[in-house]
Amino acid sequence: MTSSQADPLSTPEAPVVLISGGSRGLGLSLVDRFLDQGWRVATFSRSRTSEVEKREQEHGSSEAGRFIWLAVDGSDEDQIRQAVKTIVKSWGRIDTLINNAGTGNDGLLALQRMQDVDQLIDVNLRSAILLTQLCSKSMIRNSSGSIVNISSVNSVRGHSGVAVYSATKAALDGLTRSLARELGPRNIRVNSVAPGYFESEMVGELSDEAKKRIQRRTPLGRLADTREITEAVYFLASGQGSFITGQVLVVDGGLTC
Amino acid sequence: MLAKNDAADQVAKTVFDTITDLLEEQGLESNGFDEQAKLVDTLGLKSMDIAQVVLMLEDELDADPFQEIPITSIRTVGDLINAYRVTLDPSLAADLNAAASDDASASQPVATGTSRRANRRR
Repeated sequence: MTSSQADPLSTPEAPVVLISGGSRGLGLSLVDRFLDQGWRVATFSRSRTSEVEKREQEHGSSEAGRFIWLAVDGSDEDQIRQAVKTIVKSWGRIDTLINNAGTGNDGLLALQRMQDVDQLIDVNLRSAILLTQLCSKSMIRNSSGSIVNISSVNSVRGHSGVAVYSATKAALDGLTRSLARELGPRNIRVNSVAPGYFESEMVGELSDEAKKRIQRRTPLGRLADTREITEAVYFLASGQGSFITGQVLVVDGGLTC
Repeated sequence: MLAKNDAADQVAKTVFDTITDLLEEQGLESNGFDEQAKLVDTLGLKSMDIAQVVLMLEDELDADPFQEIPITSIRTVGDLINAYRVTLDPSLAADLNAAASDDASASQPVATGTSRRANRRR
């Protein structure tokens, strides 16, 4: 490993990762993965969960500890700005950003209210762009960093009823590719992970019949475990993926191949 | 008035020092440039270098003019200094605008690589 490969784990202090939406599901799984590897982990969500409280007790909830949770509404620009300021003030830098927070709403575009469309774009795209802008400043200062955008198989294949959601995820992938070129000269890598269907709240809303249909169409014949998505994200975010940038890693059991 | 001039001088010194540090870090010529020096054409800075200068100045001066002022309007070292002067002391804006209109023959804006490409594709 050479210094030019920008492995945040090679820094003298524990590296810092910010994971948006880390109070449950994939975000919480990512929080645990990075904590297990010795990182300092900051995350935010709208409300504190018992899972968050548990990690605050285990890892400390101040700058002296390794875990910071902040109450942030992902569609509120001021709250996001304040959250990033708090983290940088506490730990001095942000080495890695995982844009995980997202929401979905199903329905035919023709029947959707524009306020719901705006809300989806705000949370899934605008907030991710804002967070990326704020965190990339810290990374540019340090000439090192990595960003992973949590995309979706909906960004690479069309699915009826999720047009706006798909548009936000495809936009994230575009952000990934162009930012990789923009930030590469400063040793900052940018990638997307596009999960297929995995055990999550979104999939939990599908009928058993729909889940069986997905399994039939998936070459590996099952839904993913959340940990399998987590490992792909960790691989790209950490020094393990040190020569990978501008890519979309589809983790879907072969559904889209 | 003296205090105001001192503050403006301090801003200029900080901008010069920060650019000099970056030029040295990049292995570029760092001697003898003045406020008329163009960031890209004279000093050889790339758009990401300018971003880095802005971030270093945000740390030094606790100000980010470029939430309000478009970065593409910054051509010279003097433009950069004035952006910080106006942000730190908005009462200077009128004076600087008057000076700018007197100097209407100034050269084209420093378009960063990104904005030049964007213009071509439109």
